[in-house]
Amino acid sequence: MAMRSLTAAIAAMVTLVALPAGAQTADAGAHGADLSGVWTGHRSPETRSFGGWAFHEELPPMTDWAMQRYETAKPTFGPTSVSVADTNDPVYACFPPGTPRIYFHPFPMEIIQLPGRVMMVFEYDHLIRQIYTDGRGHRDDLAPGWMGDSIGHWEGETLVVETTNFNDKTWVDRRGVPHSEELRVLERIHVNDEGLLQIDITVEDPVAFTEPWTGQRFYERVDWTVEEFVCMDNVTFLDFEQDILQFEE
Amino acid sequence: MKTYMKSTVLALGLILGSGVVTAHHGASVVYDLSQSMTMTGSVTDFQFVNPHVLIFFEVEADDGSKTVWSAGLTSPNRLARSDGWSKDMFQPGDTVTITGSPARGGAPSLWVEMVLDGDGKPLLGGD
Repeated sequence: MAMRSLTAAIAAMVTLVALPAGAQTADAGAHGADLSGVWTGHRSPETRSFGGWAFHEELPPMTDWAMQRYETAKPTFGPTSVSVADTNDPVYACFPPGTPRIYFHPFPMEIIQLPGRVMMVFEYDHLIRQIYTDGRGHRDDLAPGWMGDSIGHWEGETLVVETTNFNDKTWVDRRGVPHSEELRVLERIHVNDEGLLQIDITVEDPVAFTEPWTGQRFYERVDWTVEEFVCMDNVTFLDFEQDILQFEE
Repeated sequence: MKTYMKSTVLALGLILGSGVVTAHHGASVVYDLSQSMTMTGSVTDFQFVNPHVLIFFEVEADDGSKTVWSAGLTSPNRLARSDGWSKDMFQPGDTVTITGSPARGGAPSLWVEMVLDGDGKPLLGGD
């Protein structure tokens, strides 16, 4: 709690110092709620059987284009899972998981609110998302990226985020559901009545899905610090697992 | 190998549903998560590393032969936060009793459900 207050105080001071008078409106950079702090994934009992790797037990409404790709996916989670040694999951080559798949990685993330910007700092491979809330639009000068380009605004105490400009190399979950460069992820993020960070997600991609679909992720506040989890360390485990698989009596 | 495995297998399948097993990438491919066995031995190495903490421990069979077993767990960050583990948790020579799912191919390896120290005190699971 003390840390959050300190972060808020620093953010307020930065606002005062950084904004020249008249450069922006009086409330530019202000936030509708304090989402700052370290959060870890929270799964309800009813999602226990699949919540670690998919938004829903059923597959989303995929087009033929997406089904063809899904059928070639070799995930390490879900009903079609294979061993790490046999997977073609891009995350095992240490490519970023993308958005919204980053929410499936079972490590905490810290939300840091700066004037005009909300940052998500993920423990998993120290990935970040920068969600600009200062009124700017999407960049149009960048090639498609792994985590997408996020623009946000506040509707009351809810942070509304639109993320676009993705490459098509990531999966939307850990079971291998693909997407195209047309992916558009809409998020509504707020602290709900239970004190959980609730992220309501709408996934749109006319190439991959026959209609938009929704999912939810929840996080609970924790008194932790974000530590290190380096993807390349997975390689050492792959060697370990290979030895076990190739064991002969 | 089969000789001492038989003598130490306890409560097959008992731990299923206890919630202690943490699903990991392809764990069910490498380990038979429907089975459970318990081994006691002497720690030879402890690696408090990402992505999975590993305990290596030497188990003596009834005939006196010794085999080093491995035991895989969740990440060090999670064990530190939830169970108070640290890099200094085990020293070589410490006695451990480990319950876990056996490797499907018969390799001397467990995917951990429960760890007890030399006094039988739970260090993970067992509650």
